[in-house]
Amino acid sequence: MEQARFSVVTDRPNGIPHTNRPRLGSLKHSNSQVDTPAFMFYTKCGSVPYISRELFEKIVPDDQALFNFPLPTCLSFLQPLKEFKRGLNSFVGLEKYLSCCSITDYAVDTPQGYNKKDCVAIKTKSGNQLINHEKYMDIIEVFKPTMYVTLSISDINLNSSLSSIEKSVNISNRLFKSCLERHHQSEVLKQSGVIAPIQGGYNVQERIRSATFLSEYHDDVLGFLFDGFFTDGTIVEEIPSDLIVPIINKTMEFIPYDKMKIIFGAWTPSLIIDLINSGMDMFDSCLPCITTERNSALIFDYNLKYKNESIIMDVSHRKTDKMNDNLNEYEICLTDKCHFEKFVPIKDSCTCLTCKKHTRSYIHHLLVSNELLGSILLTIHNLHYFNQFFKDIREVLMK
Amino acid sequence: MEKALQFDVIASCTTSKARTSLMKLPHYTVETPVFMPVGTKGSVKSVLPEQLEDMNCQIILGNTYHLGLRPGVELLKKAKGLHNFMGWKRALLTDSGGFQMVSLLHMAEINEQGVNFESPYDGTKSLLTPEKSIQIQNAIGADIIMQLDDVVPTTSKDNERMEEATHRTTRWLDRCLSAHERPTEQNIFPIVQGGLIENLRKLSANLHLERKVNGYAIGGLVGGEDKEDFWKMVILSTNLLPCDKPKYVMGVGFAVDLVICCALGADMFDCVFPTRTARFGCALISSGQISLRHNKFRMDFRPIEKNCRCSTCKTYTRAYIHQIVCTEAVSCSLLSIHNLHYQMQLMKGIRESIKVNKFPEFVQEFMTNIYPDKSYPQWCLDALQSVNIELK
Repeated sequence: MEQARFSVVTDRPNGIPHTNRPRLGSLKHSNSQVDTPAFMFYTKCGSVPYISRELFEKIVPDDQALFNFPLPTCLSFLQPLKEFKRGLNSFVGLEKYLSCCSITDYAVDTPQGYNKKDCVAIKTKSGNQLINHEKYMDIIEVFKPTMYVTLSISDINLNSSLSSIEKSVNISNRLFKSCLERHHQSEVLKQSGVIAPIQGGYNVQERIRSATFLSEYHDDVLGFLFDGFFTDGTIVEEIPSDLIVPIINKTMEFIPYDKMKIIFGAWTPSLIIDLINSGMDMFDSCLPCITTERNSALIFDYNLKYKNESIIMDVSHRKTDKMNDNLNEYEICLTDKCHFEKFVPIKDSCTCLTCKKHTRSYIHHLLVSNELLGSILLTIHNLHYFNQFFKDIREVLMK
Repeated sequence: MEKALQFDVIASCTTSKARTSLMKLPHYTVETPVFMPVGTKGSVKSVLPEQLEDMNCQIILGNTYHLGLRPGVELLKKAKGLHNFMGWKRALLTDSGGFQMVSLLHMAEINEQGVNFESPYDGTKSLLTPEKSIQIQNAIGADIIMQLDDVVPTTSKDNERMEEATHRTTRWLDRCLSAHERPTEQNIFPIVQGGLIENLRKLSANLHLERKVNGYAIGGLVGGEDKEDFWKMVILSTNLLPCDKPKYVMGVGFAVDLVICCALGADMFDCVFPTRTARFGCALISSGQISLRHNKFRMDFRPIEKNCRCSTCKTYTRAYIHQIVCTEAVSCSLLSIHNLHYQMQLMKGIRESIKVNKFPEFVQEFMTNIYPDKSYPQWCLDALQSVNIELK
């Protein structure tokens, strides 16, 4: 079996590749295909939070899905996986899907630091584990993912100093080279694609330095990850668009057009659109998962248009429920008292299993009673809604 | 007037007292013997209604005490009943709320009027009377509802209190029956009480036989009493209760107890055991149960049970569940589904064997799986012998 391949499907305007434009693409691996713009399903300890494989198939019936396995949540699988031999996604019951391994859990607040020289601290539930590139590649050989992010220092946020940003770029570049060398020697990893993590925090020069270095190896990589923007995955929605979009736009110019561009984290729907307009192909499902964790449901009404080579999204502001949530314009909080006797679905027009069968009143009851089914029903809705959002984005790009 | 319950015995074991029947209820026709999973607060914990249907679950139980507090009667009325509220189309049964009060609340105090209790949410004092219990259960709208009974711990040595409770239970039954507002849609089951005292059990059963009802429950058992006492009280009750009506032994859920009680002529059972034990990481299998928290499953790449057709066993290994057990919420779903599927299959096996008159063979095979060395508990041997089944 060959490695996964990514290709840009959109016609290049006037035959010239243009970086900061939305595009359609396609990720293919043996019989699987994921059309982009798309997102990876966020997992914790090998499963989408609250969702068994049986339920996942009800949410995404078409078999085409890519899962992200953050290493901190599944490092403890290493020993059994060595004996199991068939790789991580088979072990967690998701063998028919595509998989990606990343080194950070982008949905939680991860403490910074503890890295030592070229060893990266993987912050697991049971403590930090220092891992160098050799150890990391040993793990990847056992996990056998469809693709993986190379080891890097990515615990950079808005408050990081220039020196720590420079350090993270330096070490990450070195680690990338070491991982890549090892990748080429590995028989097992012939089927796995390499994702190069671009570091540099919010410093454009450092981003360019990182991107330029990594791009020299473009023949060896499947895609590029825009990494190191935050350490607390729960506050990503608060990062303003004008802080990040210009950096992404600029960095895009320094990496090859035809590679997959990835970013992880719970960015708002509006910022997702901005990033797609910058040429981003792949996201993850941290947003719907975090939304579930705060007992909320995505319900934003959106209208997508394609104009002047970019997507424009109108989000209609909700008339009702305003008094009830101080959250944001995209969601409603189901533990809010106002839903106590609302015998209507979360969203009238939604075709998910939850909305077809259950009312806000029932979900409110389950959540305030600490019944697990409440979070299960919310996750079903939120993932379905997010998935539909991306389907609609692809549709508007196809026109 | 059409009855809210029609009970047709379709086959009886020619050796023991086991039988299989169709119990037609307003929302569903239930095949008995049946195990009813418990959906305490309006959901069988971590399982979707459609998943319950997929495993051929036909009737589930809701707890009046919990539902009355939350979401409350008014909301359930507005929702047009619990069926509608939780999206469950098949049959439902609710308990009276009395048992929870006595077992959960140390503050409960019982007198002739009813049960006085303190709300765990706001500490306010309330009185649950037989009338109030039926009123709530009428609002919940289950196919089968239970009378409020005077529950005394099975192991109590206070015979005088037990006698009072037995009589009071019948008095409360009459109050429940007269308070019942939906007799064409819901069935009140009386509860045979009497603790472990033979004469009181007989008296209770005989008193209840005089009332016009469509089925009976056998209560006040499974409270830590000796198993020898347990089975004797079950058979004593099933012997007295009429053959043409369903008999429900409350609180039974261990596989061995289910099989023995079926042999003794019982038709319905409920218990939180399969779903509760799932949340503690235990899986039910034909040879008993395994705790997936145990380190020996770390490298065990087999499904929980070979040949099990539940959605968990089709996908997951013991080794993976071991990794996430008790830490990831999804493990509760996976184990609950397996355990409920196990229970459903067990009951199906019992029903099928009765239909082909091979129930004694079924019992033998079942017991051999659990006790391969034939170290059968004495009470099982005694109980089965009383209905002419001799274990080899």
